[in-house]
Amino acid sequence: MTWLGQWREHRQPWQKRKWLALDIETNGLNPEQDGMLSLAWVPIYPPCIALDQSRYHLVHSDIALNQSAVVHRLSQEDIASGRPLREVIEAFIAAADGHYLVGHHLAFDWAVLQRALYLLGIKWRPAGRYCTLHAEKKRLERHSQGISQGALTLAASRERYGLDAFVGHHALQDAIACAELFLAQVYLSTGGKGVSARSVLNDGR
Amino acid sequence: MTSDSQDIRRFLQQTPPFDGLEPDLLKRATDKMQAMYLCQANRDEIIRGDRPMLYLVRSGASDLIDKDGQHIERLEPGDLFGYPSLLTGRPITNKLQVIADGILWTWSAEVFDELRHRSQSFERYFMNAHGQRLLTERSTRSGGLDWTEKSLASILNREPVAIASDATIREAAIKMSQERVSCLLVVDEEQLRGILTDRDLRNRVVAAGLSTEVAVTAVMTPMPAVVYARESLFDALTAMGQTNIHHLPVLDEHERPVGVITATDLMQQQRSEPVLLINALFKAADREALVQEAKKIPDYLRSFASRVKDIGTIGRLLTSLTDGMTKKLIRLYEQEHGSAPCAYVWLAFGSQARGDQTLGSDQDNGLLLADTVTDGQRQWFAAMATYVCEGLADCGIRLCPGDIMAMNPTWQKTSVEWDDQFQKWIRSPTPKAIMHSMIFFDSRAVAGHASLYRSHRERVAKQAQRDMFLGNIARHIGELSVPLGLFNRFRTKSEGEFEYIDIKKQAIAILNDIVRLYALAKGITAPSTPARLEQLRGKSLLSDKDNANLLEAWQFLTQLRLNIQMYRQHEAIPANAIDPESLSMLQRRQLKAAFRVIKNAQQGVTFKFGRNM
Repeated sequence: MTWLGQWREHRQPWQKRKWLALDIETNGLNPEQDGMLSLAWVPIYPPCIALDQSRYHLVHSDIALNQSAVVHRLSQEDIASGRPLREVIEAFIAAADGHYLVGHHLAFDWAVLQRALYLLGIKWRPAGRYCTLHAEKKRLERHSQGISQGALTLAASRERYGLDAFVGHHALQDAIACAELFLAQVYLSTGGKGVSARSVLNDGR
Repeated sequence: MTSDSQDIRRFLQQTPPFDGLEPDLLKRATDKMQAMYLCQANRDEIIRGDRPMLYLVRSGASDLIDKDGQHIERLEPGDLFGYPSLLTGRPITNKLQVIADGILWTWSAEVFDELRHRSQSFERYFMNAHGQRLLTERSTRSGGLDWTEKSLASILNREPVAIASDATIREAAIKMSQERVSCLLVVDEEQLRGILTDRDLRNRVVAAGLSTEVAVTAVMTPMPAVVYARESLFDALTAMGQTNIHHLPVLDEHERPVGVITATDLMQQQRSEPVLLINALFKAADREALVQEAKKIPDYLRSFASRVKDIGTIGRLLTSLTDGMTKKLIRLYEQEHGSAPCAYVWLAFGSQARGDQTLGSDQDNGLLLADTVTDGQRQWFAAMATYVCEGLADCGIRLCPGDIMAMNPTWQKTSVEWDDQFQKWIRSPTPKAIMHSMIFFDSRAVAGHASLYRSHRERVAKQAQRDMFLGNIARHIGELSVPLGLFNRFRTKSEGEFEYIDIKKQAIAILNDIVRLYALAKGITAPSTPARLEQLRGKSLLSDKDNANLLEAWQFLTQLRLNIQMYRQHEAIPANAIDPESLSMLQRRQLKAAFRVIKNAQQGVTFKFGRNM
């Protein structure tokens, strides 16, 4: 898409644009070397979260699971039964094309995704990116509250919006939780006015 | 792999009615749902009038309010809303007042319908919930109309095809075939004289070998039953059911014919259960077939109830079905034993006469015979009455435990005998006489000679206007206890483990008694409580404000009763029992208000009529 086309789209009310929350689980915290174990996403068409179009995929891999298994609770068996990375990424691109990506600490997921795209030789870019963690950090800073440790986790952020705490670390659950947080953040900061997608993206940069 | 998140499934498994879904249907529900974030700022994006959905509150809290700002209910996690619009097809008019932001889960109309059709428990849950909701929402006429409430004027699609009364049968037949109609109105100077149908030509002309040069007046049905353009489809339906005819002339307010409505027209409006049911009842070839069809009534009524806004329609429908069954049984008897040997009227008393029958109502009926009746003829009527009463019992209208039935020789009376009977009750109003007269003053002619009934009813109305009699009724009413105690608390009865109020005996019957007393005092012969109140309007005896209050209380109580009976969970609970604890806050408040109206009216009649003692 031309920069002009993108500029026009960003100027539309954010509710008219397509968003997609994602969460990726990896075998560690280094996006450059730790592989993708699972990928989940759910499209957001404000005010709806399209649970019926949400997907969760395990990625096939032979790598040995390390300590991170404690967190994501996936077994060697689980990932052995997964689908090839290429299939998963292609399914993701088919669903996510033309959408703005939403994630909690999206920079990490985006890095993992970029590495996978590089390995597969696929060129793809989302329409834009919104990080719920960054948006939350900015908001707290604006209100000049000291940000205590752990205040920016997905669960803690959600609680500030009255969204219930949940048992995290299943990729799909996290993606849905993130989608809910996204809607809460944007609706409350815009007061329901139809601000532009650009302005929303700025908050989540 | 799809979204079937454990979280979601776990929540749904604990939430009625999803908890009753089979695993594959539960999966279907989780696969097909959406989520929404609800806050005060986006509530109008969430509920859109043109897009009905089923909503489930996952977190947060809101108040559901109607379009006039009236509070309907507080919605908390696990609560559902949006289904009344899905069930009735009316646009959503309610709004949300968000108290705590949260997540809603939603399902489209298609998924809702699929789940409803595939799971009986799911379906039943919503029928029940919808019935309850009907009570709490104020009925508004301005919203979308139920199809039965549409006016006849709105569905008339052609001018009436008419012919003058001096035309011959042949001319009439030619006109019918040219215009491709199955019936013709006979009209002189814009006044309806009669109606001529295909069937009349077959039965009264061809089969009878009559010359086609004879005037139509010889074979038409003179003075046929009619409906008015401003009346509703439901009124037409009732009229057809009561008279077993398939063509009804429609008149405007100046009595000029403006069209004809047929049973087919009604069916085209909707392949509706009531029309099909009434037709099936009338087509029944014999008693067995009639009983078979009648067994379907309770289920039909339940499904019909979910579609109408005014559940009072159900009482009228049930009454018109009972009328229809009575007439059908009389006809079946006549087919075997010849026509009635003299003029008579099949009388309905009590709830059937008033038109507020319920599924639990028993029979109250009797016979009015011409004064000329002979002993032999009486035997014909006695046998006919036994056949009809027993037939009705088989159809689900149970025999009267008090034996107030046409099959009881005591209630097979000539005009003169009925006059004597009423005279006795009126002149010596013992408690038993008062009780009897309460039942017998609510009467209506179901079959037979309308004029015989009319003159009887008018004579009785005149007899009743005696101060001492009215004073005694007022005293009787004053002794009945309304279940409202000190500090506005409900006074419940207990029976075994149930604590309840008998909404019939302790409220509706008293209200009916009060209105009957006013009607007697004013010589009003209409049997139904709303019709009596209507005719009492503007009369000095009862202020218009009290009149309106009584009507509102009556409507609320009868609807509440019908709902409770239709969705009764336990066979062991008495049919008219209400457990106040099981009602919503708002319903309890409304019920207390209704009781208060009755109590005040009770004191009113004691004051107004008691001094005549």
